[in-house]
Amino acid sequence: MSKVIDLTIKVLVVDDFATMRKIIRNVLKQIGFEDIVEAEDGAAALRIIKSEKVGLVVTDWNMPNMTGLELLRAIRRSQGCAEMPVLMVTAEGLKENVLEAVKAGVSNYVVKPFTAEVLQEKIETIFKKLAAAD
Amino acid sequence: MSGSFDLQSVAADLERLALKTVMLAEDDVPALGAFLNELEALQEKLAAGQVPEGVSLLRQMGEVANRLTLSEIAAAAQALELLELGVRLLQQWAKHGGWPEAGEEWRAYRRILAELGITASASESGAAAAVADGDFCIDDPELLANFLAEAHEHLEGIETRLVHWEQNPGELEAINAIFRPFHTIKGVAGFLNLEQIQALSHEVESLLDEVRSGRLAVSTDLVDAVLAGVDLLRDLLEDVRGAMGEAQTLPVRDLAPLKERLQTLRPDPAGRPRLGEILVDQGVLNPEDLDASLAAQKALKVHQPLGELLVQEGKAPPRAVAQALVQQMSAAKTGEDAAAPATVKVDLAKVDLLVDLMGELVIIQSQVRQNPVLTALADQKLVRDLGQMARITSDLQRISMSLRMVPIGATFRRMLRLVRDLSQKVGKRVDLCLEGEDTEIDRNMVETIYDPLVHLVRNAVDHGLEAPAARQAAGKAAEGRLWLRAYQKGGSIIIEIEDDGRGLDPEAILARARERKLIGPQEYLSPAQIDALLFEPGFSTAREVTEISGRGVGLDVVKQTIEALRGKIEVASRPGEGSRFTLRLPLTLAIIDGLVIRVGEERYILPAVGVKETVRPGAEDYFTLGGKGEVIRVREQIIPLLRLHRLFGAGNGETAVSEALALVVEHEGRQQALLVDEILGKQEVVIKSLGPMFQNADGLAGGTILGDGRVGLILDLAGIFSMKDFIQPHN
Repeated sequence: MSKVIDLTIKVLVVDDFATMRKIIRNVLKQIGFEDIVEAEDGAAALRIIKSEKVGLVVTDWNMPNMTGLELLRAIRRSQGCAEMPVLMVTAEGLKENVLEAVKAGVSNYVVKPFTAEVLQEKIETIFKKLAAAD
Repeated sequence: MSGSFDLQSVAADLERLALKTVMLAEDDVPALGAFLNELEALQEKLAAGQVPEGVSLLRQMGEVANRLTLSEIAAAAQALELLELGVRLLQQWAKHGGWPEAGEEWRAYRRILAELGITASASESGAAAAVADGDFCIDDPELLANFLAEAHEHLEGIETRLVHWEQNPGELEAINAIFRPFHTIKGVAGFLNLEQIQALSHEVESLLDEVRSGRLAVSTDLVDAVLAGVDLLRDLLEDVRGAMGEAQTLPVRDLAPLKERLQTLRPDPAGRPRLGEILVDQGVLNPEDLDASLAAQKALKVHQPLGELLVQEGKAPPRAVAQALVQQMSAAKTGEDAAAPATVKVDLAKVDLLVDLMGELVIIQSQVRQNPVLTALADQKLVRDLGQMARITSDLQRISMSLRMVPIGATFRRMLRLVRDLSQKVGKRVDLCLEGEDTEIDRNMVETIYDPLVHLVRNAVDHGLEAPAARQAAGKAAEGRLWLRAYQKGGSIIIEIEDDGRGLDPEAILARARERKLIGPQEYLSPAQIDALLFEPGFSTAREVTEISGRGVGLDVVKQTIEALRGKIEVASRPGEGSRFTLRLPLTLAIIDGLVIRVGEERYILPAVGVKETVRPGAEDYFTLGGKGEVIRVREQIIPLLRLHRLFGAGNGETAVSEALALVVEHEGRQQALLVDEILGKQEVVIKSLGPMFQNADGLAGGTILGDGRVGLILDLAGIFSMKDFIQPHN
């Protein structure tokens, strides 16, 4: 389905809402990803990132304990994660959030509700930029 | 150009910024992020070094970069060009220690800025010295000449009128006659790109508007200031005449002193805090010093900005003043200045037509995209291009739709008066809070929701909120609070009317509903279902309800109105704490969120808002009632079943119930299960009228063209509910 994206990488979906995780998982499957793991909060996400080789993080913005922005910042601070692809999912109309995430180094963002095509496009953009930078 | 910072380090920063700009692409989010960070850091540096021109340039660039990041700019290449130009201008400044003369680059920068819809006045405040803009377009000398003549003419009568008005301050026509010329001049100057004239007339106009609306009284100071404004405008007009002839460039005049003079006359500089106040708040300045300096400023013969004066008197360090100015600018941006973008008046019929045509375009592009001949080609480039076309068309549709959107604020503000009058009449004290006034709503919807809003607000003041004594007895503030809130959520506009009054009384509602036989004597209802009874037709009348719960005046009518707009209304309440009515309206009337369903060979669209749930009834849940039709059981509830096959004579009406799907729909509190073969998907569809021939087709709200080019009929729930009563079951 996609030439740009390596579909064998591990994708980590972070959202406190199980339904939303499932929706994102389904969309990712539609794109062709197979190795998808989930975390229900930022702390769990960081544990997974430290112990497993994650190729892409898709995280929600609005989560208890640790927001998506805080998670993003924590990831960027972690060793070897400065370039880790992180895609932020935000709700419509929260421009300030998007700008904050962009300044904190998010790889791309997507606004809910989104379709598989939009998500795929965003992910493709991330990997294209990474490939171009190599 | 005072340089209390290291110009060389700024030059190095700019070098880095220039590199980043070259690498920038609209879809490269990380690069945009890094760029934004650099811009911000640099802006802080220049603000601290008192380079207001640089700060406002960076601010404009920041605005462009922000919008680019948010994908709000369709012409990305232009935005990128602007950022490059901006950096280049800054580099020239850093190199020569002064701003480059008006030239090609400034012109290009300004032009793109205007084309991107960012006006210099929106992102820069009058407190900062004007950026050296020495250019304007003399595309049409004749037009300019006409404007000059007309503007002078307009200004001529003002002196006499001003004097007349000063003596007869109550005369509304007098102030209007003075207001109008400034307004006209501002409007035309905007088109002709005469920024200084536009900015100045805007200032005078805003001040006069305060007077017109009664917030400001006429005074000698005010008349003097307006006259000074007239004089300066004349000078500016003469400058333009000069520029049309020999000079070719427009000299820059310092408007700041007059602007500030006009500003100080304003009673409440909406959203824009005073410089002195900011400094006092920050603890830089003590209030006594501020008063002394303000008095000194007034006594001066030649006007001097407060910031300058404070620095001169040694009361505030330059750095603090510069920071306060920047803060003032950003406050102004979110305030009034930002709320008055340049506008063009367009006939509504044209906009409606545009929206219709856009709908057609979306459909035809979707047909082209799904054309089997094209898809069979399986060409990568074609697929990409088609995808791009789809994105552009949907952007176009969104934008054309937004042309018809107006802020809900005006409607909300009409409630202020209503609440004031009403609360006085019933002897209550009410504090009305408006939130989300900028939320936009389809213009065609505004009028329709006005009455329901009045209804709900009236109810809240009349019945929802308690009298002051009762409130205090309940441990609440004597003044009741009422919130009117609007925001956008997904594809809907949400309007909330919330009070902190006594809330709904479930016992009383239940008793009333039983008395009216709306529910059975033993029927169990959840709290939400109880509250929903308020919207039942015939639930109550005003007088009776006041005695029970204080709610329910004609709420069924409100509900009907909202539903006619394909919206929804809900109520949530806590006894003793208040209640909240939530209106959920579609973003626009032209498009509905629909479920595409298959009935036999036909496809229909069912408005998603009316569908409560989808069930696949088992054989054991299906019953026929002798001669009374069919029903299904959904969680112990018996719901009448209607076969859409029979209703529309589509295909085989005898599909076995266990093989079909039942959609439970609700209308005016009644439930109905519709039997369909399949749900094909959820889709936004553009509603098209069926034309006069089928105007009275019951059960159909209109038609639409589906993605594959086939026509789908949109079902009308209200119609179906009234129709099915006439349908005899096939028994």
